Amino acid sequence: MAWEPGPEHADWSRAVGLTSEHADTLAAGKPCWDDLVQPERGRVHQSIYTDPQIFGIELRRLFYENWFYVCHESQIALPGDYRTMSVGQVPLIATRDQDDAIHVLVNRCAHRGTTVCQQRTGNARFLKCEYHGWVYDSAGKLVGVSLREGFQPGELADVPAGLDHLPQVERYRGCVFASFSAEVPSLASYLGPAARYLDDWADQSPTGSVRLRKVGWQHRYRGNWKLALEGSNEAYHPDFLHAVTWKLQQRRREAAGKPGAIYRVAAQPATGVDLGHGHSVVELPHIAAAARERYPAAYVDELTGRLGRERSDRVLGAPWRMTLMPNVAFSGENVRIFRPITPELTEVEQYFVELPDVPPELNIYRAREERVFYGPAGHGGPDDLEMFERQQEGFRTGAVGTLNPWVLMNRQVRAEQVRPDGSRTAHATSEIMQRGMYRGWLDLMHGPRTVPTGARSGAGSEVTP
Amino acid sequence: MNIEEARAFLYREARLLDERRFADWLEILTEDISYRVPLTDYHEDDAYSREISITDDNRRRLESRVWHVGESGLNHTQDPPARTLRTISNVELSMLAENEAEIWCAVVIHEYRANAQRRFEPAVHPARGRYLLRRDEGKPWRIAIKEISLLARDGYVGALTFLV
Repeated sequence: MAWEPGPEHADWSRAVGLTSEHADTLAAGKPCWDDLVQPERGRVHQSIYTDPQIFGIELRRLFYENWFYVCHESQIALPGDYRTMSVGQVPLIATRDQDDAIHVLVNRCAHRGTTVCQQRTGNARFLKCEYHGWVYDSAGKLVGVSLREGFQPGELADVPAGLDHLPQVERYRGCVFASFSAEVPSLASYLGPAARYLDDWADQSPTGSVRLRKVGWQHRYRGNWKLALEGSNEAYHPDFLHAVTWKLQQRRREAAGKPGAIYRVAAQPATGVDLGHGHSVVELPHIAAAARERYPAAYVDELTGRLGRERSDRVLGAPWRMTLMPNVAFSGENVRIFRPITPELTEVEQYFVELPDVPPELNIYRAREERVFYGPAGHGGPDDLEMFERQQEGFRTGAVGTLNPWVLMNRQVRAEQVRPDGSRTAHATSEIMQRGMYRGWLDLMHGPRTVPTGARSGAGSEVTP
Repeated sequence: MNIEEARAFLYREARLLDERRFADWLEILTEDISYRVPLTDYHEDDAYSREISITDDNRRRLESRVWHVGESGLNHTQDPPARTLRTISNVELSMLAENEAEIWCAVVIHEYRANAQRRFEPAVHPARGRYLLRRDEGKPWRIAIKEISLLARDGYVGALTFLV
């Protein structure tokens, strides 16, 4: 295995005063990722959810040296619009400048490090640090230093030209992605086969672009960030954890005099796909069939006419859930962004996806579906977060070395098929989406290397150039 | 209705919810009850602006919610059910008509969940309450609109899987 720990691994934990049960292994340069994460066996070691040193390396490898999702361009639609967010632990500002260009800036004054932008969302021509009054324009350029005339010759030479800006910012179908690394491969290679699903996502809209609300739900759970990424397109659990959803549907049907069998994901012809790079999707074609019945006919007809019957069946709903490593999950109706705070604390922001130029009752219908399931008072999403907290509670057993440390995700690991494009598939209720996530995790944690692992014949083996 | 009656009404409603007497609580709601927990400001006459909220239930959805919270046995975030204590103050009453009253108040919902994850940290949900009460001639007052606007509505509000 080609992984070579740099001195940064030891420095990382020392710098933040953390210790790790793997500290000796990591400091000795002994590769341990393949011991801890075994996607081909369908299991991971629970210390990856608790270990502070691994958390630090994850932030670096999976977030700071990778692409990540920032926001949607419709959330900063006008010149001067901005939004603040944190990626990993770094406070950022996404702006649209007066020339309509989108920037992702670091929310840190070049002078003394103070954050310069306090609102979650807003519009401003200039961003001003309130501490000493330094002023930046919406492209991040430093346009005003207070009491400039009193600086002596040469003293301003160390002043940067502006806020740090992320060297890579690209958009795909309205989604803004960025990277701290100038060397990261192109966004197209990062997305790979996932791009097709973002095409379908945006083409839900007659205009070819969706609109995200500026204000969303804020969730938080006491658990590792990866648990939400694992749980966001996992279709093994809904028949059990979300049984109440299907029971509520059944009660409604009965009240309307139309009793029927209870819905089960396990009975659907639904497919999980490992898209490579740690991305995965679960395809749920019955969602499109249901949308064809329930959505306003004018919308369904427009969409079917615009895209043709076959493609419209991939777009209506949209009939899938997708997660992209490291920090975002998409469904037809929402975008969820995951933010690791500590190894055992995670924030989730969730935004509703509006469709412009459609019958108003469609957005009302979709918003209601979204709210009653995923909202903070819904009957679905809160239960997911509850499970993540219970998992994290279970992981405390790691303190006793004789107890079982393994977390299983091996359902149908022996039934995976390879598609012509190299992506691997299995039934939706398999845990292939989670194995795909950890295949990508391994590639990224090992870092750039020239020799493919050989352990993988499918997607993802080309993750680094 | 006078201010003392308004207070008494709110105190009783709070106790019905704290004691999980949901059937009794449904009795004091009108058929066209609107039960709202907003996320942001909204326009009363813009249906869509209200959909983008934390909760916006009509009677049917609210009865489903009551079944989910009280009877389904499938509300995993309420295992065991949260104990709640509501304190109500700053009550203001405005009589809109002889049989229609608007009440504004401050509500603090204390929530305690005796499970492994939350038992050390009771949650506190401060909120502004707005009620529209109506009555048919000679009948008791009932709630036509109940709006609980949480102080942290567009921030972290936790799992609101009980009745607020």
